[in-house]
Amino acid sequence: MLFALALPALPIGCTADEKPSAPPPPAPVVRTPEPRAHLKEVRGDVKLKRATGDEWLDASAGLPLFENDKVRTSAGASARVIFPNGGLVNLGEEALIGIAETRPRPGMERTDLTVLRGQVDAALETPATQSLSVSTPSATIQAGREIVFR
Amino acid sequence: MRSALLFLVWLGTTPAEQQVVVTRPESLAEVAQRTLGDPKGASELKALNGLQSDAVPAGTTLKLPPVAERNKALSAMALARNAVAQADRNEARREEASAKLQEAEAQFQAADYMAAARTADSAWALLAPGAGQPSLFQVNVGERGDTTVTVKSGPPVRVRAEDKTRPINAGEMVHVEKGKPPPAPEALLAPPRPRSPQEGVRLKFPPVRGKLGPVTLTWSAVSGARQYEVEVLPSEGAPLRHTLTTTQWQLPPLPAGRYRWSVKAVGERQKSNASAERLFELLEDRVMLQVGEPTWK
Repeated sequence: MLFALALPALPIGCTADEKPSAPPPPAPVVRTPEPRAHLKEVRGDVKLKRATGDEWLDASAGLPLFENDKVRTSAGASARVIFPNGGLVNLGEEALIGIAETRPRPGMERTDLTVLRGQVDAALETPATQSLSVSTPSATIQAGREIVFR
Repeated sequence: MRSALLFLVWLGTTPAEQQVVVTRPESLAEVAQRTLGDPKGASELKALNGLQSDAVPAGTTLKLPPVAERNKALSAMALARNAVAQADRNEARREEASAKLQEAEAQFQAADYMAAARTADSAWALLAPGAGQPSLFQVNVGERGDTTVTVKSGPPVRVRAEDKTRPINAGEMVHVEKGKPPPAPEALLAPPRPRSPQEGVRLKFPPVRGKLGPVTLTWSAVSGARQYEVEVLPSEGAPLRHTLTTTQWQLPPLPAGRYRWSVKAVGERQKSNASAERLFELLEDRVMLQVGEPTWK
């Protein structure tokens, strides 16, 4: 019985004298990070830079956005960023934003988005149950629930 | 081994419990004053430590409330109290919010801080200005990192810079310079008070080309207002809107029907909430014109 079970483990063409090579190690489990937002309604020249890369890539609608990704719009371009809680942010032209980290650094407030340049229009359909926090080089803007229980 | 590791992780993520040892016989109120800065915290200590009596023998070790949770609850209750105090007494949701606030205070006294914060937060949400409306705001970052925030609708948006926070109401715009706190808020514009016509009044006019009037709307002046935005909503048809610098508006002749109206004060950088609505009704004054043979010849 054990022999029968062991048979499939032997490499094909392996003779009884040959020592079977060690089985390949199991592929590491790659945990896909949870997207923090999605890109929608991309118009004009909109670029995306992944936190893991150095290149600015062409952005397209539907792309997931992860923490520390950056999105940039050129003149005449626009895009919409949708957060899982329903909050949405419309990027105007010549804007540069970053998706905030899931876990804030010590002493830093939790935010969803960093606006580094340009103009964004944000909307919360039901602010009584949603929240959105935007940081900029000079301020942090919080909309919606005063205290958010997650 | 794995359980031991999990236990260590749990220990690392669980905040250390704060305790106090009572060094001499003292009441819970005295301990609360000493540790929480408030003698009213005695009921919290009693609930937290499962005590039956208010007297604490020397040597007793008492658990103290978790500071962050307690502060969160205190902050939520303060906001809710403020919202209830500022709410219009006739507002239907005020009573509901007030009941929720009482519930939150009872939860706080029972040292259930997270429940208290949640309940107080729901009370606040019932009465927050603009509650029920979508929150729309704009953030503009300039070349030097300065930020301009404009709130278009919904509840106030909070802006924090250099450890200072200030709310920005709908219709308001705030500019924050890099390295500086947000500028102090202007005094909030109060909504104007409608004066005439009186609530529910029925006004009769002889029809002129099928229309009635004119009706003049008047309201109280508001300090700091530059203009007033008036909105008249007929029971049927499109609303009439007008912005003017005076405290009255003579409406054009209107068809018979019921009309609701309200007015907002508009300042340099902010707009008040709408005034309480007033209702008036326009009716045709059917004067019977007797046209007949004159009695004189």
